[in-house]
Amino acid sequence: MGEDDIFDLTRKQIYWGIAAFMVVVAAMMLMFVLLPQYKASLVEIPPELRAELISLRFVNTPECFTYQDPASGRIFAGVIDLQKFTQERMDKCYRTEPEKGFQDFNFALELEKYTPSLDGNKKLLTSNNFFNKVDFTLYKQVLVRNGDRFEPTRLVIHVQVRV
Amino acid sequence: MNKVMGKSTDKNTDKSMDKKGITTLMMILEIIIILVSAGLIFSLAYKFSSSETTNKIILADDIKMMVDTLVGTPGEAMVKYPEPVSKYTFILSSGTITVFIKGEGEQQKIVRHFSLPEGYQAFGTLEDKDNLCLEKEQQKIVLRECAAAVTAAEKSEK
Repeated sequence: MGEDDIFDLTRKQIYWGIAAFMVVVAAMMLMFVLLPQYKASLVEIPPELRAELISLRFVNTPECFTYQDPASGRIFAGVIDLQKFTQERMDKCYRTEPEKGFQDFNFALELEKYTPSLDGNKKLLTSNNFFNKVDFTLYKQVLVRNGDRFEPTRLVIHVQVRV
Repeated sequence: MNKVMGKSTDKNTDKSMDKKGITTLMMILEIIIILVSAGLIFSLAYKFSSSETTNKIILADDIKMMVDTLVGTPGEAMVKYPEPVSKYTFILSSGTITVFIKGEGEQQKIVRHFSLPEGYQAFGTLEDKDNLCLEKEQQKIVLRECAAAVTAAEKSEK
């Protein structure tokens, strides 16, 4: 084997070394970056839709804040019973896991004109892992049952997707 | 002299033949490596495209959203999943929905969590059935095979 051949072989070895490295990097990128991203995009659901579906309970479910006629048992969907609009009720209505719940949807509720303020801050009803990181806000037109009156207002739902 | 010349020509021919042999060998090796890499990438893409994981994630997310919708619906209600689901097994409990294919390991099971208001219960399993229904009966959410009446009503609508 002459010098030229040895040089040729060495050159090839360097070429294959670099090529193998590039192939490994490309395969790693494909497996750990591109495919998971593609997969996530296939199964992605808009967070607004999820939040909207979860927050249906705040205005339609008597176990949350919805007014239910005690005599007939009729549920008045879209009517908030002011008596029920308390933090205690919120805790019973929607609760995320104590430890990992910050990764889930959390909410802060404000009933316009009815939510009291303390030192200039509104006293919102919050779910157990709400940390004031508002990602977006939903608005729902509702009626409030205040005594015997039904008054129109807006339920403002601040949504925290995950921390 | 002629003999010497002849020997050196023979050596040169051997050398060039050696070089040709090595080059051909390298070329064959290169082609094999390229074919193997291409095959691996194609098999990976095929595996990915025929993967059931994506379907299971979609099913679990859909059922989770169906549960949230039923919780937010006053009175009693029923939802039928619009696709056949006989390939999959479902386990609904108060707080989670698990979707998997029979015989799969724990790691391949897809689990989604949800929150129910206090007093609510969710339960039910389904295996080897085409139709999946979720029913809300007072404070219970039940996952079960759709009743024959629902399927018949659907057929008559068509």
